[in-house]
Amino acid sequence: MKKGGCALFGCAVVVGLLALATLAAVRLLAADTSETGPVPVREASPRPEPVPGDPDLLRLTFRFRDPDEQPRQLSCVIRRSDYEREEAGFGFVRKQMVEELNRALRGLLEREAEARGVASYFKIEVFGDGSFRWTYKYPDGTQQRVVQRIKDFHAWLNQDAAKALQPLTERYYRDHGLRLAGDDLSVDYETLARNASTPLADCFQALKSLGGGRLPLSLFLTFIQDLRYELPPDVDPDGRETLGFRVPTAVMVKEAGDCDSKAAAFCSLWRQIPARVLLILVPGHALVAVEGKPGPDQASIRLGNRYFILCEVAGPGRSRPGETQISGSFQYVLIEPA
Amino acid sequence: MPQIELASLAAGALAYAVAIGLAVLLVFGTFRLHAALLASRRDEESMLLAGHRSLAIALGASLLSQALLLRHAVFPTMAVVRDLFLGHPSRAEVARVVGQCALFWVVVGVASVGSVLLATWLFTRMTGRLPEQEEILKDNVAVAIFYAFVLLAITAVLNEGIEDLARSLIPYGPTGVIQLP
Repeated sequence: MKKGGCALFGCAVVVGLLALATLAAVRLLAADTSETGPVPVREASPRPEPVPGDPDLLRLTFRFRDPDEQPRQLSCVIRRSDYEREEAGFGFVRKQMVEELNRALRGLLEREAEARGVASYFKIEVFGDGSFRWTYKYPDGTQQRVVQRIKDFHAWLNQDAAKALQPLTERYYRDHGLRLAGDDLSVDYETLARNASTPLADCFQALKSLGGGRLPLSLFLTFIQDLRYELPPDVDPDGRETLGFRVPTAVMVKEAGDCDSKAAAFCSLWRQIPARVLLILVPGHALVAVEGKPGPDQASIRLGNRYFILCEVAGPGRSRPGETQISGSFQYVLIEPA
Repeated sequence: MPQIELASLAAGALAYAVAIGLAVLLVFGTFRLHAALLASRRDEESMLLAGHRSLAIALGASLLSQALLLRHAVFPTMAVVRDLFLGHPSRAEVARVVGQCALFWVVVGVASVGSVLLATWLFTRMTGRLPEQEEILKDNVAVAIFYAFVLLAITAVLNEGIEDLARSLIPYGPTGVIQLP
């Protein structure tokens, strides 16, 4: 029994080792051939132009170099209305925000007064940056229970009404692609990447078809890396505050963006594979991590039971999938697949 | 100026207390389990008191092996418990975290004890001409030392798998903090 067991065990070990060796050989042969290299000479792409017959469609043409340094051209369309909506819907003009929030706050206070049946006794004024003041007056002979309601509302205005502003502010920021947590205002990458996927669907399909039968991670990566690196201003010329972020559709139309803008654009394209992707926020930088099986030479991280390959999207230098020098603990944003 | 965060300190203290309690509980449990398996209903305590060296070596190796694997339940436990200290959790959230922690310990505990038992059982079946358990009970120290090293060798290989399993149990949200290599 022992000899039989040993023979069986030995045979299984040999077969297992052979299978492992074959897998390793196949993996080496299929390994990505792209390499880190100098910044490629980038041929200027034509500017976006309207599609004849449909003025709402913009044709985008990109000239870039693929992972094998071969020149490629990508042509896709995006709806001008989508692009303009995405860009106008992100960020805020402070004056407009204050006006809108004050209007919403006034409405909320008036509705509360109506609900308590005391609106006719109060005059409420909202002013400045969400401040408010009020006066109230009731004629002699007013019923005692009404007087009590008036006093209750006065007390509510004094103590609790200011708390009503916080949810209004949070909702305002959320509606404008931002996230307010405590005093920290940040870009809502997940929503913006998700919302941009449909407008960028044609660009995704065009890019995917350029990759042929191969998993096009390297191609997607070099495409985004080759977009011009440009730091968007914190406040754009129209006075809109954007925290230095450019929405994915604008990155594609303007063919430029900084680390987090490019990372979000990459995520909104890549999630259409469909696959999960992480946007990792490093102070002063951003990169992505793409769900997949990392190779032995690829830097990767693990979230739950899923592995993600780290990818530098910022450019303009070339970095292969899994090639990064970043190390440490950082915040991530999970972008679910489309 | 660097400051000590009280919530973080409290989480660390809780981790320490949980680790002490569970370590004692689990090590004692596995001791009883292995003693029963090795001694086959004999009184393992009296055998140890009588100076049974082989049983001591074998039991000690079993405990060490499983403790090395069980420690992987501490990391996921603290990963979820720490979240309680960062906000103002409701009772339902606290109950959910307690349930998750219990699940981590049950899964890692069963996997650790079960896999070591299974691996050693398979190994003893493969070495048919060497009846390890009988020889240990006869106080054959050479066999006991060999058995102990077998257990530790199996544990060294299993360690990676149990660590992987334990980390896969940690729930993750749409945002969080992650360690880059």
